[in-house]
Amino acid sequence: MTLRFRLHPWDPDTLYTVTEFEQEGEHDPNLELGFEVPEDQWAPITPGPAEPRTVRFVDGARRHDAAGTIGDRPCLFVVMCVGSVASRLGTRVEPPAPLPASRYVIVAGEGGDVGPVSLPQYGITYEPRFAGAAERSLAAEAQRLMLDREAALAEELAAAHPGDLVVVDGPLRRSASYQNVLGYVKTTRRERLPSSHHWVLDALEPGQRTPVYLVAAGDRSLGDRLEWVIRPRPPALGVDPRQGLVRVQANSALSIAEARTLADWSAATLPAYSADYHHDPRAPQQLLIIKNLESDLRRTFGDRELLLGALRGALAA
Amino acid sequence: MTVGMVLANDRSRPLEFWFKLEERARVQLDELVAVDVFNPFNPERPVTVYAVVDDLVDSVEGLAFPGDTELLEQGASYGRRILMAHARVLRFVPDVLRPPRPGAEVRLALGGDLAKALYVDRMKDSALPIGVLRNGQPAYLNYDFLCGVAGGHVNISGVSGVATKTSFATWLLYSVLNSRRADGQYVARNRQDVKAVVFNVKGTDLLFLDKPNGRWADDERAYCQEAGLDAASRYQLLGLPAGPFERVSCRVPPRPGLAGADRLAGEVPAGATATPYAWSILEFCQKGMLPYLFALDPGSQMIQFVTEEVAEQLKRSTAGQEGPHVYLPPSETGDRDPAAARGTLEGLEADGRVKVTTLDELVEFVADMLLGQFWGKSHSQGTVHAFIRRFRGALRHVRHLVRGDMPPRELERARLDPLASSDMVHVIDIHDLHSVAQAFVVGVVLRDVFDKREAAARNAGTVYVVLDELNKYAPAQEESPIKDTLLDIAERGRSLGVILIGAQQTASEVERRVVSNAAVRVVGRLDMAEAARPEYRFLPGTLQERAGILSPGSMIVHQPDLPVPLLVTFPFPAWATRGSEVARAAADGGEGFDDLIALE
Repeated sequence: MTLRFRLHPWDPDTLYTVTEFEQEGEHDPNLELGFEVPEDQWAPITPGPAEPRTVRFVDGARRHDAAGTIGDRPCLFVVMCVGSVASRLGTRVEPPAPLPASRYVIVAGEGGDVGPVSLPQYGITYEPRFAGAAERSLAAEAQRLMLDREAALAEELAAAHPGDLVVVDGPLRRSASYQNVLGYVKTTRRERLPSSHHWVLDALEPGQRTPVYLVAAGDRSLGDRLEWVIRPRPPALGVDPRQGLVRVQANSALSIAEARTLADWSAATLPAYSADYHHDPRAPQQLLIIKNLESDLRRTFGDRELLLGALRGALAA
Repeated sequence: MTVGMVLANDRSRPLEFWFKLEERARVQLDELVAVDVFNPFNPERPVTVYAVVDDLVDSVEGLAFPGDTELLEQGASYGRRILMAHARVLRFVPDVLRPPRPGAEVRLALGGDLAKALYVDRMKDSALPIGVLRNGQPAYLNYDFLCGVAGGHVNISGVSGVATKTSFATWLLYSVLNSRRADGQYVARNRQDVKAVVFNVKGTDLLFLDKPNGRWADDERAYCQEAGLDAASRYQLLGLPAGPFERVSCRVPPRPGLAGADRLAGEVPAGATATPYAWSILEFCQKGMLPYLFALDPGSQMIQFVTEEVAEQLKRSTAGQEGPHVYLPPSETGDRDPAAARGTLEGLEADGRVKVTTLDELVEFVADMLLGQFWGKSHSQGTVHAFIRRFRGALRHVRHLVRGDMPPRELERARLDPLASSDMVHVIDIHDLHSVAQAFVVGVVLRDVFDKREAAARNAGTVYVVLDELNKYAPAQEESPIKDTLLDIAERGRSLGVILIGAQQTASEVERRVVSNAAVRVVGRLDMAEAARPEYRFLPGTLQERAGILSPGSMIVHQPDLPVPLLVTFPFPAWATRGSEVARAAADGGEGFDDLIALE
């Protein structure tokens, strides 16, 4: 007998508190601070003016449409969309063509006789995906699905436009083979740089950067990567200057010279994209263009209340 | 041609909707569009909604702050540009009132669509060209609403100088006299009986109506080129010949201070042809013109009684006489010695009557009669003196217009009787007269026209009266004989075939009933404060604001047939408006005009 999907009465965001997916390991990676500059000569670096380059920002957006169950397994209906926008400072941005959203019903556990859920009146189908064991990881699985697609899009763009830079929102994941992909990490839970070097972070000004260092992840799936820190905007009054920093990541296979060029470019250019304090609650790290891209991607999601109603109808039938 | 789609912004209503405009679509304000809508009452036959674009919004979606525009230009942020057009619905065909469906295609209204959008299909043979729409298409007025069949009268408002009120009135007249239907007949039925009485209030512009303009063609061509019109002139676009008015009679007041001469002479500007006009003192008495000397300011009720009584006495005393002078009895008492009663023998006839040949003499005669208490016994001396003072005061402004000192033939030549004349257009120049005399001429002529039409058979033809400065002749506040006449025309003239094409700077200062009786309202450039007044409620939304920035030669025309006023431009006059424009005589064989007419 085929099991039937049922909805959970609660709002999915209440049921599955959306926490930032743990993107990087809890354990301390090995840092090789002397990659660009000897460890004891660290100081803020002020690069010269950057050459304009075309940057392709990649981002994804997702929304939980409904929570539910199938048999005794919890499930989560999600919609997500991944896209990119190309920008070259000094030229107006051509808005990207709208992309269709993907919809999944993420089911706890492994496999089983689970079919898709269709809402033919809207031409919508939620494809089943399986999350593994714990209920808590349904939202995490949705996030993982999205990040995978972001990474795939980043690779695709990096391959198709070798002369451009691709900036991914969040840490570099599997794009290790492309040298023109940068990760843009907005949050730092715990500072990994040794306390002896914290003064460099505090002294950073917009347009400056730290020296490039190597993060050796050991056996982590994320792999090794190069990293440096920039400050997008001067800290707001009364704000901890250690906050409001951004870590930029690049391929560990880059030579020192290549890494320096990228780092210099990012320190000089990325602050121009950063959102001002009135633009976004995540300013100054948030990039305005990414925020715009995100809301652009959400346009295709449809009205959640409407979909919820349709889902109720479809599952009750 | 598809230009956009109806927006799903919850604003699609039967009477207005928004649509997304394609960037390259050739649409601007005033463009006419059409949308097909499902018709639940007859699914076979969709409803076509016709509308006019009255607002355009160009914006960027996805920008939180207007200040981010700079980031947009720098390429540091982005949004999606959307060009939205607001459309005000003009018509449903068939008449099923349904809003357009969001997502429905919006197309330009061209050809048959355009005719339907502007109700031209309903006007049938009465479609009178009134100008060119912004998209280069002709705009029409339903002649039935002009000539009195279904409605009548035109009221034109606008700031002097830039609103081109008089030019538009003349142009309208030109269209009435020259427009033909597809079958070659004139749009104006019984055109041979159409008459126009045009008062030339300012400058000498209208005294050249019958002279070809040597310059208009270049101006017109330049305009058409700039506006991207597909024709050499707007006359051509509207299917009208271009040329001066025909059968025009220009009349000017006689030069003052020439008493005793046996010919009247008028001030005729160089290049114009005009004959002087005047009234005989006999007409003045017989037709009771006296009150029109005080047409703008008739004075107190008591003074008006005296005026009426004197006018009545003059009428009675001169009945059956032959002019141009009059004989008046010195007294009515009969048994008194006329010489004693008069105090002097001058002008005394053998039979005891007094021969009066000038207005000055008339004033003195009337004064004697009143002060000797032969006339107006019941009035107080104060009132009588006030009347005499007013009469004397008016005298110097009008004494050259009312004559008894000319040979009868000369005064016959100077007669002002447009309805009896074979000419079609009668321009009566009053621009150089004092306002007392202006009001006298306007009042007398209008009354004459109206009375004659009232007495004449129905369908005697249409008389168009063109009068600027209505605020002076029919003010919102005061009462006056001219205002009475204008009200008569406004309220009853339509059925008598007397149509008023009136104009004023500000409609709010004109008697409400004169304005509200006009079926066709026209607005040129308006003062912004004026445009906000209730008199202009017929201008919906943005049109009211736009009336403040209209350029000369553009007018907003409202007619009963169309729910939304149209903004039209009208061609440069093909007739001269000043001496320097008068085209050189045909002696050199050039006749540039005929070439242009041949374009048609």
